[in-house]
Amino acid sequence: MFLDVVDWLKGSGKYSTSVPAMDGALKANDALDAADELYRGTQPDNLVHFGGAAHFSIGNEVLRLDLGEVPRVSSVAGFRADVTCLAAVDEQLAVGLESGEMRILGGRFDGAMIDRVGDRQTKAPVAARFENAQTLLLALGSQNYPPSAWKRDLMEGNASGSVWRIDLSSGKSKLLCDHMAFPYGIDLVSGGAIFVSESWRHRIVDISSERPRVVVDDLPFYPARIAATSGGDVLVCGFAPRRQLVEFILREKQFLRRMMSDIPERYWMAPALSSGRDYWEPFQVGQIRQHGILQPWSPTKSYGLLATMDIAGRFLRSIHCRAGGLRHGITSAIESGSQIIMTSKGGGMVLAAQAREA
Amino acid sequence: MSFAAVLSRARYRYLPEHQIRELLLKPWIDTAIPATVLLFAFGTFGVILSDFFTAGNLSDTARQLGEVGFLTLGEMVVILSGGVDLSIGSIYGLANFAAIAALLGFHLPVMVALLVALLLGGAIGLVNGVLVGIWKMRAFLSTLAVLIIGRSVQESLALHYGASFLTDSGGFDLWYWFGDGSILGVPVSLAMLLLAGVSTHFLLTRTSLGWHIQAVGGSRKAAYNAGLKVSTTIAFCYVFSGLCAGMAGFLYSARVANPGSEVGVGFEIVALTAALLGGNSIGGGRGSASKAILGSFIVILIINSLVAMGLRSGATNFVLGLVLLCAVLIDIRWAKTRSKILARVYVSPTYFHPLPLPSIRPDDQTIFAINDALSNTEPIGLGKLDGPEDVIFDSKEYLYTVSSTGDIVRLSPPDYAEPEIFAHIGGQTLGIAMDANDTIHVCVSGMGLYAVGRDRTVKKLSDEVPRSLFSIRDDSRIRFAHDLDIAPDGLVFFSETTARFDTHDWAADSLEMRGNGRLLVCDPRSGKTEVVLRDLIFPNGVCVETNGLSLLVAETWPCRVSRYWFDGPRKGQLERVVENLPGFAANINRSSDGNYWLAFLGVRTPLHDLAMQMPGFRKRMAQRVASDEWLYPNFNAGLLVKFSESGEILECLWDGGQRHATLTSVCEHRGYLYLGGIFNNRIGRIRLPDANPNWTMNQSYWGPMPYWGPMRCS
Repeated sequence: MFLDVVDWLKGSGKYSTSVPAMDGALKANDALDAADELYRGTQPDNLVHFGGAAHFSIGNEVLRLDLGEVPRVSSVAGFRADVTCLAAVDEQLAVGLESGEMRILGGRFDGAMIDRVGDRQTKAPVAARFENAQTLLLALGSQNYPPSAWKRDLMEGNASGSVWRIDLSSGKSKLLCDHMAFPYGIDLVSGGAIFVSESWRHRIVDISSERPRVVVDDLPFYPARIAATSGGDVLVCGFAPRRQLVEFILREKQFLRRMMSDIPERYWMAPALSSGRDYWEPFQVGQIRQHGILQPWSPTKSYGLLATMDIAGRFLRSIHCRAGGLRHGITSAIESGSQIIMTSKGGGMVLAAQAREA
Repeated sequence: MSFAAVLSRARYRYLPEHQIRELLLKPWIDTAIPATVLLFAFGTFGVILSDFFTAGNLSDTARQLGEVGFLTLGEMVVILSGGVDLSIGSIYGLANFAAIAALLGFHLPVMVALLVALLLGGAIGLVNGVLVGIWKMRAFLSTLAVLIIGRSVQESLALHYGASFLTDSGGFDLWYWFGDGSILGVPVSLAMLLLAGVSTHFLLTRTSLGWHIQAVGGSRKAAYNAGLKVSTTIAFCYVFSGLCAGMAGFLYSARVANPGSEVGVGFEIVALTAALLGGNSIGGGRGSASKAILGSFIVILIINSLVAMGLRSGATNFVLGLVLLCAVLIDIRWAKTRSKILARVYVSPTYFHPLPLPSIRPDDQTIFAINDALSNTEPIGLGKLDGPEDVIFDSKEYLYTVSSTGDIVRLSPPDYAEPEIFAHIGGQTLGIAMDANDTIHVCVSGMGLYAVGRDRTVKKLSDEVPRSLFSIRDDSRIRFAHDLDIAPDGLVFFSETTARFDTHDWAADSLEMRGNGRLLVCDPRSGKTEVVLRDLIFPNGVCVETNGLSLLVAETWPCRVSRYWFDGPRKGQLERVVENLPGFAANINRSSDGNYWLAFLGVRTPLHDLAMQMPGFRKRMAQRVASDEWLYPNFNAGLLVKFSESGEILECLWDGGQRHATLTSVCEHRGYLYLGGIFNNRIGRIRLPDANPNWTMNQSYWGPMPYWGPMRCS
């Protein structure tokens, strides 16, 4: 208790605002700038394999991407609200919507809609994965806000997310893990474990056992979707970097309160999918252009990162898009042959990079 | 404004937080700790012991203080130089014996006895000095050896001759006076100690020998490399210590007249403890006479009080040992964290209430709406200039600018392609202006106000102002001269941006938002400089208006421009001209149509406007977050406006932020606008289609000059 007070006064321990450096396998590079651009649209997200091709969402539409000489994109389905997550197995496609419900298209449960699990409404479906044709793992990001209000959920420090296992044939659901801080990504990895990326706590946990086990903690970025590769590794997308100033602001309650009530969300000092285009965005000293150049290591609210990690939590490789770049906000990625396809939600592009690089 | 805001503002206006923090910078603040300990000890023992405050007890304490104080003073000087003197105990004993022998044995006059004691002390000190200073032996071991030798000499002398000095036939009134007399109520030994303390303080702080001692103690290698005579300085310290110990021995002999062999045993420990307790650093380099005297006072107090409480001598040594341990531990921790603590507490942000942020969105179609008016600038000196904060032309079309390395850089007409270094001054050259004779006047931050003649000679015009009466911090030095302008009669008005920080700390001053800046005026003929306006918040651009009676001064963080009348019927008045600008005002210059150009360092952001109202947040941010990550206004936006004499904004020109981030200065010349930026590597030039193609700033200030066309400079 006394040590706690000392920590609070000194700004150390639990109250420390330091952020780990991106080093080792996470050392910064510009490889994302060299990735191929497959498609350009407004905030693409939610890449998933379905019916032999990659599918992703833009706004309230689900689109199919056919790779070939020239990548072709065609619309598959449209919905009332924006699509927030996609999952697929065989001919079934599960679509999560901004309005809160999950819809199943195709297969045995075509037309089914899930809007309640256990004791609560599905307010924010942000990630999903079919375990088999009739079992769906569903991650709800928050019980306070819909997915589009993720920034408010982060800055308030909420941890009201949960992961459920839903039996589609009986409709029964089982709570796998509660009080999660925005479980943004979920996947089954080799060995049978269920990895979930807990964004606001910047860590990846394994919830397959009774007590959740932390796979890797204290990440220097906020993890988004994760995807298991055929080689037994896991792709981890980072949609924004952690900043020391944001960590500091999260601990300044009065300032936070006034910022969230007086200032529009796009001008908050908070992680963002893209940044640097508006003069009124919050600015940090290290961003000042020296001799006309914005240094790539300057503090930035948005960043582009795709990393490969083994199932023990050690990072192997990574590709980055640094400060001042356009390909920020990498939210989802899938393996496609020898390539990795990913969505840059902040840059508005679907990109492809060689698998051995990332 | 809400009640909370009113309260916050009042708190930050009336509580002089920053002045309290400035106190912590003072070199004598270290002494506050032992002074507090002394008061604490005084109070504690005064309460515990019933007869503590009687005249007799205090007087006796005071006399012992005189002796121990001299020992500590000498020890302090040795410690200050980085060594240690363990032999003072035996010097003390030997001097005591010598004084008694001289008086009672050889019947010499009292003053001769004093001289004998001093010379003996000095001689042994010289031995120490030669051993340690000149022969470079280890201080600890060699002074220990001298201690042992001296002790054994003292013992054998006392054994053989001590008895013959016991008879005191009297007649030594002067001697008794030294021991028991008083001057104006103060015991003689204490009075002598105080006199010696003042002299030592003068020696250490006001003479070069004293500075050399502190330098040698601070870093022997650096002192050696700087060419100081390290050996003789160290030797001097030991001689001084010996003299002090000799004096102490004489005073003891005057008080007690005891030629025994146990005199002075253990006194080196007492002196060491006292020196450390007072706050003198054991490693050397930091110490003062007042700390030594305070320390000895504390030690005497503790010893006497423990004895008065009935503790035996073994127990007093035990307590003294513990106290020494504590003093050493505190000293080490303090030496390590002192500069860190000072850096943390120095920045003291205050409350500022910004006016509502004017819109810059193109949709809102205000005068400040973002546009691409400056997208077609062409660069001058791209990649060859470093920090051209200000730009000016002379009467012969040469372009002059400044650099972050303290140069005046000149580019020649007509194409201004190759920059050449016209003169090198040092510091960082900032605002630049020309007088009627094309003499360059320039503000050099870190140095002051300088002038560079046509023949490239550099002359200092001013680097200090009279110190303000009630300022804790020494604000007589001009630390951060920023921009200047020259009045018709030749007086130079220039802004001193902040008196609390140096140039490289400018970001910290922006966090403070205090009125740390001043407007100064210098008469170049006499060099006399005076303060015209105080408490300005980061004053930046200065521009004399076309009427020649008033000047405009921009205050950066409050985003406003004010007018000060320095002459004429309204002399001395200050009024606001433009307020609530959307950005941070930098330099101001005249335009060809009778208006004024204003450059902006950056634009205001909503979050930073909020942070201006929360000084506690900014203070904690300064302490806990790396300076690279501090929340700031947007300095990557290049922006300039033209405003009229009445303060009406006439035009607003934006750069996309790619080429002219942090735009500090705009200069109009013959129908072109020249843009300078403090962090840039180029000057930008853009044509103004509607401007007078023959107008120059030079003519506007000093009258029309014939246009000779491009000339080679003689």
